[in-house]
Amino acid sequence: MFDAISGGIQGLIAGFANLHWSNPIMIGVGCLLLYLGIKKDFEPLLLVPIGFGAILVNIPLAGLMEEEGFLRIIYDAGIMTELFPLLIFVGIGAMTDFGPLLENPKIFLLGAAGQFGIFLTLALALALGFPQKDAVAIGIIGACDGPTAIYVTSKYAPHLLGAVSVAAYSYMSLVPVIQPPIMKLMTSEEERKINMGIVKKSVSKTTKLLFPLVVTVIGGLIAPRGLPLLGTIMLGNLMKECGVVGRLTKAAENEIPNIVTLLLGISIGATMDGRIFLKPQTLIVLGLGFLAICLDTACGVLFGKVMKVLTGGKINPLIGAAGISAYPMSARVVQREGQKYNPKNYLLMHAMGANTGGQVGSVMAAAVMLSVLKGMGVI
Amino acid sequence: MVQWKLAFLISGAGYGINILVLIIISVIIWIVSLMIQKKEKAQ
Repeated sequence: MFDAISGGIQGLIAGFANLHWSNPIMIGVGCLLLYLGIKKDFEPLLLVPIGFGAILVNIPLAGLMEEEGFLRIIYDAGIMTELFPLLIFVGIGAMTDFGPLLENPKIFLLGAAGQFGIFLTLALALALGFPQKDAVAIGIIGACDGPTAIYVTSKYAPHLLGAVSVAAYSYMSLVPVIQPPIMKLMTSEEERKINMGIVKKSVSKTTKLLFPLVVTVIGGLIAPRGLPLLGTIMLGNLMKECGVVGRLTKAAENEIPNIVTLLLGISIGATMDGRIFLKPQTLIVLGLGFLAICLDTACGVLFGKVMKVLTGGKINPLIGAAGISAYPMSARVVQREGQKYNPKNYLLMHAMGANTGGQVGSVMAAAVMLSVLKGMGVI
Repeated sequence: MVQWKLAFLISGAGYGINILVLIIISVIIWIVSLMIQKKEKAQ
């Protein structure tokens, strides 16, 4: 009887006995993500499921990420097949209004400038000796675009998925903290005061309908490796603009992204097993990701300054900071910063244009990067 | 091994092509929207 009781007690404490030193730390990280999501309102839709997933996967002997474990099934079905990020993209496309961008197509270039961080960070990661596919995944954090980062990382460096997606989403949510000091540092007070006037609303429906088709065909022909990303975001946008598939648009805006976000978040959290996650490489990935977003902002503002000169002072360089994919957060940051220096300034719609340009730019940057690397035989 | 050459090649080519693609798309969209505006004015 003593043996039976002892065996029973051992069974009950097996979880504690198998706890690796890294597990409690990662449970703490999971709680921190929950705190940031719940209390600080930083990307709660993603950080809450990611945080909880991280807690779940760090409880030993539950086998949630082993074969037949429920997190493994979700992960294999949606992340390994790259399906979840693509479904999210359909939703993003359906929720995005490219009107302000089409009103002023030259703003598209700010979306290109805002992707500089991707390529410089890729170069830095290669220079630091990261394997080529890992470097691609690290560089893509600079897209400031969660689904793009997840898509590329799950394809080329799935072992970095936890670090890359946590970096991408955390930095996206920290855009209001990261960007303003860089914007202030790189512009003069006079530049920040520039009033760009109001955005006209003269874009025809035909132009709005043609935009997703042109981007898909041209972008797809030039960078076919990224067509899944481009195609899904543009499909969502075409459904929104054509106005004849209201039910599908509604599903793409609500039900589909809601369900996929939950499954995506929890399966990303499930990649944060302490034994795999807690290593110096993760810190380097987080550091390089931060650098990428700072460089994106700096390069966007610099390009905004160039456009200001070229247009004879009609462009406020601050809107260059919105040339990243963090939509619409980055545009709101620009509006807030602009109004700090000129309360009559209304930069929001101009920044929204740059911001949607950044969305297309980041997807295009990923597509171009994959196609260039494929052409060079790197991947 | 530090892969400086590859690093510069990839980032230079990638960023250059990325900007080029977006310039092409923005020019096409600009031309299309101008054509549509002209057509609408004519009507």
